[in-house]
Amino acid sequence: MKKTVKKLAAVGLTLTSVMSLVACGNNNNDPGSDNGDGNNGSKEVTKPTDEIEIMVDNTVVTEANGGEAFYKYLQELTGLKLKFIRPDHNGYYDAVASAFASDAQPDVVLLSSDYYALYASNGFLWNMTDAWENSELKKSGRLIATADNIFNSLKVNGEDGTKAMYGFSPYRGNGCCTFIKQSWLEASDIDLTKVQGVTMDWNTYYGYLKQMAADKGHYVISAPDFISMEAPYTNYLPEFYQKAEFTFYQNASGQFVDGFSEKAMQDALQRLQDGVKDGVLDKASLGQKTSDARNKFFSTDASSESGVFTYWAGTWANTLKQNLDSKSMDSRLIAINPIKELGTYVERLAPAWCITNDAKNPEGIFKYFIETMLDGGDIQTAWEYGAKGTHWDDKAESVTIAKKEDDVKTYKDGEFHFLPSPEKPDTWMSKNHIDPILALAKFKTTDPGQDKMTQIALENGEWFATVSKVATPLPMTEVLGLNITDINTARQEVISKVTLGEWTVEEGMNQYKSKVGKNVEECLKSLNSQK
Amino acid sequence: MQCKSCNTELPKGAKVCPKCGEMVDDKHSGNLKVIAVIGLVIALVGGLLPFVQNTDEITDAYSFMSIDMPVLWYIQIVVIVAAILLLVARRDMLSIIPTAISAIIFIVAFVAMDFRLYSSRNSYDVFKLTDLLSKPGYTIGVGTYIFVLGIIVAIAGCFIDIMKYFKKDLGVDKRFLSNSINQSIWKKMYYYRGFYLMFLPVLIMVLLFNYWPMLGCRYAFTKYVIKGPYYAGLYHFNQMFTNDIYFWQAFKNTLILSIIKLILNTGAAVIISLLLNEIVSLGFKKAVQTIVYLPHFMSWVVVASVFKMILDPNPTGVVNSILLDWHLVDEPIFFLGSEQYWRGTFYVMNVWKDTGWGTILFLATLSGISPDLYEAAQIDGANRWKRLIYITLPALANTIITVFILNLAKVMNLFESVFVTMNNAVLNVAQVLQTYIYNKTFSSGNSDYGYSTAVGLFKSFVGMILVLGCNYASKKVRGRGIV
Repeated sequence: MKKTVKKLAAVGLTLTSVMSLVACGNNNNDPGSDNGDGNNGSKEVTKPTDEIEIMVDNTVVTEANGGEAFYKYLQELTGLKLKFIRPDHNGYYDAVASAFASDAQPDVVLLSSDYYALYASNGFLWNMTDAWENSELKKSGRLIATADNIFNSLKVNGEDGTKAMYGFSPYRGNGCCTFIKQSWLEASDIDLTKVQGVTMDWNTYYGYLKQMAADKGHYVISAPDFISMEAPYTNYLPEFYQKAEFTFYQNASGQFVDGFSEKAMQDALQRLQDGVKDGVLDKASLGQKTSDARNKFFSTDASSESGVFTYWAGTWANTLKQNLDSKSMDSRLIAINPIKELGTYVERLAPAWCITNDAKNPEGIFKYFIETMLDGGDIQTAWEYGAKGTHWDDKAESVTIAKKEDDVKTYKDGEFHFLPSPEKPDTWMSKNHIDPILALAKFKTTDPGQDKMTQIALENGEWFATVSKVATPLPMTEVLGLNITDINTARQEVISKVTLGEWTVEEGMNQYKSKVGKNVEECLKSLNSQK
Repeated sequence: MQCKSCNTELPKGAKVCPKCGEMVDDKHSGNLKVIAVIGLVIALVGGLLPFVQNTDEITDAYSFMSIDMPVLWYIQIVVIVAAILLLVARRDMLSIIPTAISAIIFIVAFVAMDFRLYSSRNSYDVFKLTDLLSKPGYTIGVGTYIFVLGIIVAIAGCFIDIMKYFKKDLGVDKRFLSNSINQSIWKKMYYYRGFYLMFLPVLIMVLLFNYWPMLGCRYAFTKYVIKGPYYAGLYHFNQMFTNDIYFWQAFKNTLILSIIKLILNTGAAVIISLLLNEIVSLGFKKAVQTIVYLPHFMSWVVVASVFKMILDPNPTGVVNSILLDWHLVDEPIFFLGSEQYWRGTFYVMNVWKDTGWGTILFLATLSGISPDLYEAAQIDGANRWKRLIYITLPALANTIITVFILNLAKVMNLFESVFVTMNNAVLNVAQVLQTYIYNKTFSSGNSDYGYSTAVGLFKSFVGMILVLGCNYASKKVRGRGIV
């Protein structure tokens, strides 16, 4: 009897464990869940008293870099109870997907444009349009001139198909502009006044590129691949792509069309092919990592050095110069205006702070947590520069960084200054989540860190805002989601093979149509039949 | 009747051995009923496949995964698992009871339960299968047939013992085996409880990290919607086999790249081993061995970077500059960006990286060949070549086949080496199943986990067939399997 009981207990335990394992994987589809209605007009906004769970990636100072001090400082300033969830940066979106799938949604989540549109269209995000429209920030008069473009781009389709704002970006997404080494222009006897501050046309620009290639005896541009893997896809070779669209977009008549099949893309492919053939473009750009392309721009080996590089505006304008300086190279760079055929550079959509439908007091979270990121005072300072006493300070003191102890910097009381980075004590702290150059709202008085911004970065960032337009996110449909990977793979294959001269433009387009033509049609149908 | 423990003749009706005190158990303890186990596994799989199917719309399908009362499915899984456990514990006849229960659950579900059809997130239409079957366009699905077949095989299998045909006579007097073979599994477990306790952490780890994730296989039969994947029958498999643009290409590339790589790596390892074996100076031999082993310890990312640098497509690249200087080519070759050269370059990189490591087994075998054989051959006038052909290679043949078979089982697991060297221009010749699954899963914001799980499941299925095939081949060649 005893044995039988034992056996039954063993079998019972096994079965229970199997059952629990299966049950754990079950998704409970609760039909009564919140519909995410953003109508909050008549509600009085109260300050959240419960703990707010916030899921963020490493764009907010990491815990190794004084994150805990930042959390504490932010809680002191906002009077909110905040709990930051920090998944591994590389697996961030897997962690976000798991959180949504397992009913463990945070109250606030930071999402890049692709995921923002996806989660909004699936009905997981709170509609903050009304909250934004009624916000004090919107009426403050501190927003930068181009802020409206950014907020308009944040309007995406919700679960019911209507466009609304489901996220908030406190800063511009930034974009890439083209830098030319002045020394290369001089070496090719190119008149600088015809390049700097001038809007060139394609023929003039390409003529200069060919001239430099001939003088140097090798390529001029080495890019991170011939097409970027994420939106805005054409940003590393904008002059070659000009107005060609890599993927689907809404044309002037409001219809979604396939940009890749259009004449503009065929012309762009021809320009890329000619670029390689004429020795202007580096063949090795194919599949090249961003860091490798960057290193070629800084290369001291004349045979592998590149002279023209399209890269991020603002802070990077200064970083490129510093890198060239550090290698004792000529660091004079000219950021050229978008060429005539290009019109404007493209600015990507910045990651958006979203409130999930599970949040208990979304109006309160928006008002007291999200809106305050641009309060023009202490909280904005914290989001831009980090925690006082850990990342920056304004007390009278003398500070140095590791390995450069002799270089003591002395500050007076009330003078804003950065402290050594907690993670890398041999470098100075520079910024937190919001890049001061890209912030969408100005400070009420003056930006405390303004003096610490390099003039080059500041000027380049401000200039870029005037010569760029914000990319529009592609709405997501079920059919598009199913097909987009294969379609993009086919597009990337065509671009690579045509550019390397293995296919003609016509052959490439025929291959594209025969491979994914049917899928493209299905996607267009689904996009155009959206509500 | 004799005591199993001490082999003493027992008095009629005795319950305890008068000599050793062993309990007398006259129940027959037979072999594992493999056919019954297979039948139950078939029934388990049948529960995932459509019971009723719309012939026009493949996603309009119904199985246990879309039942309105999922607990019934879980109970069904539990009783099938219970039946398998009873079979493993050699309680064959008892296992028929849970098998029959699972059949009853299936019938109840089929006839009386509601099944869901996805309408939108958190919203379903509900149907009875019998009502659906009365509508035009609906038919009995493959899941029903497979489930019924599984149950029949499971019950019939309890009466068929195929293992006895495979059992070899060990030639040992059974008396000496009584303690290890004839004792009940629980007694043995209790006796060796120390070992089982030590094994427990490993068992938990394996269950947690190897078996629990397997439950995710069910997503291969769903359309993935965040927080609400829904049953889609065989939709993904149908898409994969008939409509997918890159699937068959990736499948073909996986087999071509893996098998040629395997042949080249094994061949190169044999040649290097033979050459190393001929080196007389021990110091030089060890130095060469160290040099050829080293690349194995480099990560594929590093290897790819090194080769990209060496094979730079510009005239200044190391290889291209040599080829141009020697007038062997007019234009630099893009080794990693051209379909014509990519595979060759890939094989060279693999041979460079892994050949040295592969020589270890062959060198061990070579060192075991008796020097007497060489001496005798030398006396008979055999030169080096003849000694290689008639002594070394035959001695090495068994190891070559073993290494080949062991590696053949792993051919579907090709990822890292391809991932770090492929690019968009060589997709036709480079894309393999693993990289395809990776791209499908991670390169868009709206990952279709259902589809990539289906592709992964197919890959695992092919891998399983290869492993079983290799196991069979291994048994034939070296007398014991690999699993």
